[in-house]
Amino acid sequence: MKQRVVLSVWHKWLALLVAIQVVIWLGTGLYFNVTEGQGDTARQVRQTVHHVGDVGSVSLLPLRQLAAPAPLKAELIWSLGKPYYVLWYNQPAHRYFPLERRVYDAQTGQPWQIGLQQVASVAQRAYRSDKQTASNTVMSAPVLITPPIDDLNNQQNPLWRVNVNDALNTSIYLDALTGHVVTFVNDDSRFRALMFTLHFMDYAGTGSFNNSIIIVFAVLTGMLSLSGAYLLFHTHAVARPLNEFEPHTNTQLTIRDKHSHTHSLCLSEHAGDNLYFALLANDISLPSECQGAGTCGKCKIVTNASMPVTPVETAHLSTQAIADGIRLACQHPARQFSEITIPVALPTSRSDQ
Amino acid sequence: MLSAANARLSHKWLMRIIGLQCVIWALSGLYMVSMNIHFIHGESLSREPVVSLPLAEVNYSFAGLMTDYPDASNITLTRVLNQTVYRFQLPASNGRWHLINGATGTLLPPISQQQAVRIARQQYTGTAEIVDVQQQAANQSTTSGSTALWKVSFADLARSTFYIHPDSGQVIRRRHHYWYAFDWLWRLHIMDYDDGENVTNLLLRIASILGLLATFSGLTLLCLQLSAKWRSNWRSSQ
Ligand code: FES
Repeated sequence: MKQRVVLSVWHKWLALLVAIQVVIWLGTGLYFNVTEGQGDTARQVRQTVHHVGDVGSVSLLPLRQLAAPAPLKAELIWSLGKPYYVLWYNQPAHRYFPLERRVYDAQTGQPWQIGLQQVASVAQRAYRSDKQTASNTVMSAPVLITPPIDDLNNQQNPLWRVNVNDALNTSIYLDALTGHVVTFVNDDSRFRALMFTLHFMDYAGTGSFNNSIIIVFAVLTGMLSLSGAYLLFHTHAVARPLNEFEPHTNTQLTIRDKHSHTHSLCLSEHAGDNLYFALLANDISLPSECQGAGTCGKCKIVTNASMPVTPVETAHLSTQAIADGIRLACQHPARQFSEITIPVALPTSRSDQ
Repeated sequence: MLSAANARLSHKWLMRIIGLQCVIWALSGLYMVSMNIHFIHGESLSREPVVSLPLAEVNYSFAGLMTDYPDASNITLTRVLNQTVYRFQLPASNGRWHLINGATGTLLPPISQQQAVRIARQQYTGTAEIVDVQQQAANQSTTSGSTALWKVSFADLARSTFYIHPDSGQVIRRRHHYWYAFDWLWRLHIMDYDDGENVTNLLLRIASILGLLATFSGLTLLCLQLSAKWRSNWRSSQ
């Protein structure tokens, strides 16, 4: 029973720590449940750019004629109709990891990086606008930005960004060297990303759910839910009539208050409730933080020392206190008592004298 | 009536219904966030060989390849088992991958069982022996089309398994016990128990709404208790 008392205190404090985040988890989870798979508006304005040019008319320089160190792998790519070699010096598992590459013009062998004008042209071709809005669509000049990139938390490479003045503030991100479209972001996808940030507690903006804040909160929430499960399934003896003392079925209760005034109370239909609730029903509220749950140990009264002791009471009260007749009101049916002393003052109007 | 007793009662009853799922959410979530996702995907199980391409041996050029296969796309010069090869896709064969010997320009046959074993051993970062090699039945996965992948398993604790594409010679999937655990906990987390792909299922919707109600009742209880505590502290300090 000691365990139960300790766990309920833990349960309360854990709840205080994680409650808001639990609401956020459930709320954002519900958001994903409702919105997942609904049209991705950022994808709807994106179309494939055909970079491949006239294969027959180009003459490709042999790779070994490039003035470059030997790569781990070499790629032939096209950008706006022209061929280029991309030489790779690392092979990361993801494209958002830092890439070590060099790009060369595959016809001249000169080092190459896409220029501002060409990026703007790729962005134009990648953006699908319908006939009416096409004339009003204005795109910003491309800007080469370095990570961290607000829209793309996990991106570790520089990218070109082109902003479109459409209703959803689309941003087009393109590869810094080749100008190939990396991704489209708009206000819808930004909102979704915010929901993920909240769900993953990625407040440091790492772009990953493997962060220490969420691990700490997940541990606390695990403890909260397990302590809750324990409390739910190990029901306690609170407010259960203790049958062996059934003979005492008083409905008249004599109460001595803080100022030693004596009051008498008729419990009538509340005689079967626990004393804490029976008094509450008569507008007498004992000190309590748990409102009769048997976890705070505050609802002390003084009564006859022969009154039985519940495990909750052994957990909260010292042996001396129990010997002195101190008990917890929420642990006994009211009808077991005929006389009690309470630590609160009652208005004299209730007094018999 | 908004009282602590009512809040406690509804918190208890709602949690009797949804409490088990709350425990599952908390514990499956804990596993998923505390296991590094790159580890789960097996990225630490394999490494790409770090050998520079011996360009002097590449007699068959990109230009030659473009003449022989003008439709080729995604062309990469790379290494497969100490051989320099071109890897590319052809639209004529539904985007199937092909390998060509970089020295001679001859089209290579699909990866054999022995080659798959050697690729797996070359890329594996552990020291365990290979215990099992199988060719997966076709039509298994969507990413590999109808291709029957080579499945090479190692005798390590997590039973690491590589799936090698016979056309491209690439390790395209890595699985181990931690991945399967992650996969199952994910299904429990989103309450989709068949393939774990449907985040929008009705069961999850009902459960999250009940979970929210149960949390709000608990939160109400907490606020009422704390305010009672502060009020009594304030009163006793008077
Ligand atoms: S123990 Fe808190 S009211 Fe009795």
